[in-house]
Amino acid sequence: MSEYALRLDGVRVQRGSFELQVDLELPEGYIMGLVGPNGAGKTTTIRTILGMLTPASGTVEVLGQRLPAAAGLREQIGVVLDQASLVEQWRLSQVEAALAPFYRAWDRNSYADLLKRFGLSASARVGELSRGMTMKLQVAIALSHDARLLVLDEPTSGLDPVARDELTGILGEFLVSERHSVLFSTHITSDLEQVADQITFLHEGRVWFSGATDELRDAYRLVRTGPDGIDPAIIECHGLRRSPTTAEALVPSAEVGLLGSGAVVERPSLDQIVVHLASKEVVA
Amino acid sequence: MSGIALSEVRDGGLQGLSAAMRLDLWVLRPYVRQLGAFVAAMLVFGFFTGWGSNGLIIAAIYAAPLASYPFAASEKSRLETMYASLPVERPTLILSRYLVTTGIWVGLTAAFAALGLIGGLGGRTDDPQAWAMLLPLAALLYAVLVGIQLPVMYRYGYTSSRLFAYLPLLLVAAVIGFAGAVSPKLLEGFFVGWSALPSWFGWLVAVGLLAASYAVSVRTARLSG
Repeated sequence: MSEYALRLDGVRVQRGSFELQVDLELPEGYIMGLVGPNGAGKTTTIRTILGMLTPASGTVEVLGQRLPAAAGLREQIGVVLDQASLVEQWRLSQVEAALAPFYRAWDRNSYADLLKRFGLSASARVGELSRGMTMKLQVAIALSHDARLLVLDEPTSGLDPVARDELTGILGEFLVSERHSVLFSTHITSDLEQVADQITFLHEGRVWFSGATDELRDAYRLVRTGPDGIDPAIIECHGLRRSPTTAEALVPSAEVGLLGSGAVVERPSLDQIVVHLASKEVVA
Repeated sequence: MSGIALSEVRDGGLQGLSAAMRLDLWVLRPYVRQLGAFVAAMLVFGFFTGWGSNGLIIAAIYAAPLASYPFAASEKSRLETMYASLPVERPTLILSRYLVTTGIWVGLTAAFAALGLIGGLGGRTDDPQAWAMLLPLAALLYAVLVGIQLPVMYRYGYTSSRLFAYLPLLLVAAVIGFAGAVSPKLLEGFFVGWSALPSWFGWLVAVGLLAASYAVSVRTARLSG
């Protein structure tokens, strides 16, 4: 049995003029955040993992099976999207009636319990649900067929902080079992600060970083100096922003020693890393 | 190709096919009232005008555009990701769509045939030979109309190809109109020739057309569509 829930090796996907090149490994039992600005290739990566897009080259392994795999593999995958891919007129009881026959492991009691726990009425219609409730419904579906891998594509976009926090809690419970893994795509990186063990950072269709979250946060430092305190000719810096009085940039930790005295050095948040890595030099 | 597709369906098991057919019916469920009202209106119209055995042909003509409903419903509710994430092979989902669509045609044909047999107010009673000749012809007509429509829907989606719900019908009407305009004897000759053929011939060609159409759908359907 594979130790990886996901493994993309030398995967290249062409969609019109956009080309995605991605390598990543998600060990079983972990949450990986897939981050990057809009258009970075997050959804293309997810559609490739779900088998909706076929790579021009490279290999995709999901739960130890190389794609294209038998459809039965999808019994073990749960998908949560920012908008549910369900008929809006369906009642939540009808959602179960429509989907349960596909899954051997579907547990009716589990579905009923999860709806109750998430405050969802079985008689409510999909189209009447708020975004937060829709997200919970999709999680309930995924957990009712005992998915081992949850794939979440921008599940928190448009959610209020309370709903986002609830999702974090749900994912934490899901990961109590070591067999469970999560790929969580988002551009709201603050959602990942608490939960993601691994991060893959995509930018313009390329992987800029893929590895442990702490490793990424330790690899860089956020530096603030006077306006001339950071010289790109001497120090590798990302997203350099200059104003008449200050300069701010993301600098590799190993190069912090090259800065002059008076620089303020901080451990960056994921959000700051993504913003600086994805942005170009700005001079105000 | 169809051999490969059918082997994938077999591998997925009858459970997958049955689940996929039930899902298609669930997808159509919000449209049941609309479809029911349409069929009821047609039946009332047929009752007062008296179609007789021609109801078989009319059923095929009306059933064909209904085949686009699941595509329209899927597109409206963005179901492509749901279909892609279900643990069932794509050929099974496609076969299910063909079976459900054909089931709707069978249902309409039964209703219209019942009406034709009752007669209706302006009705006429056709001899059994007319029914025996028209039923396989209706099946062939349905197979042509749906056999062209479904692969196009699978390839290009409902929005881009909704005209194809009606285009094959217009094509058939144009061919009949053209033949009638060139020489009325052409059509008469066709019916005489058709009635001379064994009834299984029409069924065989209809099933063959649908099987070929299914193979094309499996081969050309967009993975994400």
